[in-house]
Amino acid sequence: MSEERVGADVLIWPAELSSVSKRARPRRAIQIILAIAREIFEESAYGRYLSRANMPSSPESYAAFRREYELMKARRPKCC
Amino acid sequence: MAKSLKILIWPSISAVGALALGTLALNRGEQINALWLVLAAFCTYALGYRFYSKFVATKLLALDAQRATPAERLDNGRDFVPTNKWVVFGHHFAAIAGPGPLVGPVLAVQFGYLPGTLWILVGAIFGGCVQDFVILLFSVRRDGKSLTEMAREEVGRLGGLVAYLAILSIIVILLGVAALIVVNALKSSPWGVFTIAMTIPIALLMGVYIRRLRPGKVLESSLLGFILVMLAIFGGQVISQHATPAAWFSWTAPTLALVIIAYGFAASALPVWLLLAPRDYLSTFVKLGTIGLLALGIVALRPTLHMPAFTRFVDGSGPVFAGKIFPFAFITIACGAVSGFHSLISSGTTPKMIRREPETRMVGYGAMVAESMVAIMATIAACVLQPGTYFAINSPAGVVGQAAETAAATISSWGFPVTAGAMHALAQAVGEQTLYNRTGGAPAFAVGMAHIFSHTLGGQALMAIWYHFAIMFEALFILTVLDAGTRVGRFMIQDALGHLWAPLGRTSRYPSILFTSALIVGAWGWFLWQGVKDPLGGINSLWPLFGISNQLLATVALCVATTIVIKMGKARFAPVTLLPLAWLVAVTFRASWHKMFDPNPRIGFLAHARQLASGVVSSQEVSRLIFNDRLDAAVTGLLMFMVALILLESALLWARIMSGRKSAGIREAPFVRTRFAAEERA
Repeated sequence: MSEERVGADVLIWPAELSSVSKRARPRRAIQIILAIAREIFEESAYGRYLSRANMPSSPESYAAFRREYELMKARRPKCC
Repeated sequence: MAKSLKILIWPSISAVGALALGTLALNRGEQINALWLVLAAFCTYALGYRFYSKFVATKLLALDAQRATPAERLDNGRDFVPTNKWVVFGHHFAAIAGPGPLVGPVLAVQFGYLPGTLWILVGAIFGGCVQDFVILLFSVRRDGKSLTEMAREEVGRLGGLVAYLAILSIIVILLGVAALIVVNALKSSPWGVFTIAMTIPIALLMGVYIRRLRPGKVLESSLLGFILVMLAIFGGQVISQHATPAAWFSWTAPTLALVIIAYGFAASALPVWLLLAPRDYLSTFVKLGTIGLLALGIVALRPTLHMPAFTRFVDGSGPVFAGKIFPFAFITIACGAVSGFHSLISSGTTPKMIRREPETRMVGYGAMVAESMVAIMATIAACVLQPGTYFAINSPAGVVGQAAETAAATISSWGFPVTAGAMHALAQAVGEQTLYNRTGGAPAFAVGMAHIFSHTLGGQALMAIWYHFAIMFEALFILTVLDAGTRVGRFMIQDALGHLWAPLGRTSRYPSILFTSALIVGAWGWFLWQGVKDPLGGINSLWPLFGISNQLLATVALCVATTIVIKMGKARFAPVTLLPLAWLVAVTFRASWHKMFDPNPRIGFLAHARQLASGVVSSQEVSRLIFNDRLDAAVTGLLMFMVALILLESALLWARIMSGRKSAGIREAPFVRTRFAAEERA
């Protein structure tokens, strides 16, 4: 078992789905899909920002996160 | 699993893949099931990933599980973050999958289903996936450096300059052609325009939700936004059925073009975060959901492909775009086979998230396999249409005629029967006034998708809803590509102009923002306007230009990759990147040459200009068309010149290194042992 940071969370995840019991696999798969969605939709980035800035979630924190994040994101192209 | 069973798996997959490919390739005169295509693709990708990507990973790149990645060494919780490989895979796939793999394959279907399918499979396995994989790994080993930086450091200053110009030109042409696709999909469509217009208040509402009500809960707000967009689609149906509101939202192509140009400028120059970020989320949500739904729909419906393996248009006389299979099929399908644009993503955010070096194989190679599968699905969506319907939707009025009866007669005379009555009934079924002259690929894809969805869920009664869902999905994420691309282009111009006069480079100085926004929007807006006014529909001229510029960027990426491979002392494995590079150079040069000098006015820009100049009608409009043709020829020539430059500089460098006249110093970050390996062992 390896410890991996998935976005803002520190989860104990198996490195591969195959290393978990068959019964636990659907739950792990859903966890992974949710983690992917949270990363794509920048919820994880917001979580990391809150951890780094040691702030609770609030409209002000989110506004500060967006200000920082937009500068970084504005130079990222979107593929065709 | 028993060892004997394991041994049998790969030979079985090979056999099934060979059978499926054989069925696709050898079938003549009979319609076949789309599952053969899915099966052939699945087996080819599985074999490519299992064997070829492993060969590249072990022999060429020698992925090192002990080497710390920049995400680990430079972890700052912002852009450098070691992330689970599945999460990086999903993130990377969402970044590379745009409208390209949906539109290009649909356009290439004019040759029949086989040429495009074979290019998608072979191009992805040996070209696109390899490019994405090696550039990702090389960027990881260079602290996440961009393609331009790697080109400058590894190839030379000229390489860096060509990379910069290639990126800028692809952004400009991409945005012009993407906007044209939206215009062609939404012109005279009150239902479509209303739905897209409604995404503005929906996005603003989502912005308030994320910012004020539930800070940071983007998934929740995207779900809410999705529900509202679905309601907007139903609202659009009501609007389209009432004459007065339908007239408000029934816009001509020039009006739509001007609105989109104004939107692009506002997105670049104004602080409209509250609109753009939520719309970006909404677009991603719809995009990923729709791709998943389409995959399920194809498997559930198992539709029949009505398009033959080859059509008569392999001779280059196609109505969708003119030109023979070689080279035009290979520049028409870029995303889905080989897309240079991906190298920007592979050397952008993704390398800063990779946790362990071996994971670059799954993320780089694997995500491109997934995108290639999307291109296969787009091919299927276009091929489930009757060929006559496909050509009626995709042929410009300048080729088939303006009147419905004339167009139907022309298309039927090609051997693809269609009647004006059947096209009218189809337009009625999808809630449109007409489906003729809807060039650009998006409407044909939407009709195919609506066909698949309506046969699996809701029946014919929901055909119109599904069609407008598909149009909304395409227009929405093309518009997000447009606003993101405009901003990126503006930053690139500011970076360059900042060297000439420092204030122009300041990204917080408003006059500079307005000036550079006007420059980038003016550049792609010019291509858009040209496309809108083109009697041949615009796609015939602009899509090949986009394909050439995209493949130019792939050429730059593969030149950089080959240079690094040779510098690594792995010249004997250089054909892994050199062969796709050679192919792309052949394709790009050949296509560029045809687009400039082909004597056929439907293909060659200069021949078209000469034809117009020799015509009896001489007006300001004709003069403008002639100027456009000459400018397009000049742009094509410039792209070809840049390919030649980067190739020459790279080849000279390779020769000097291999002859020992130059030391092969590579600029990798120093080796640091990863702590993750020890943690995993513990």
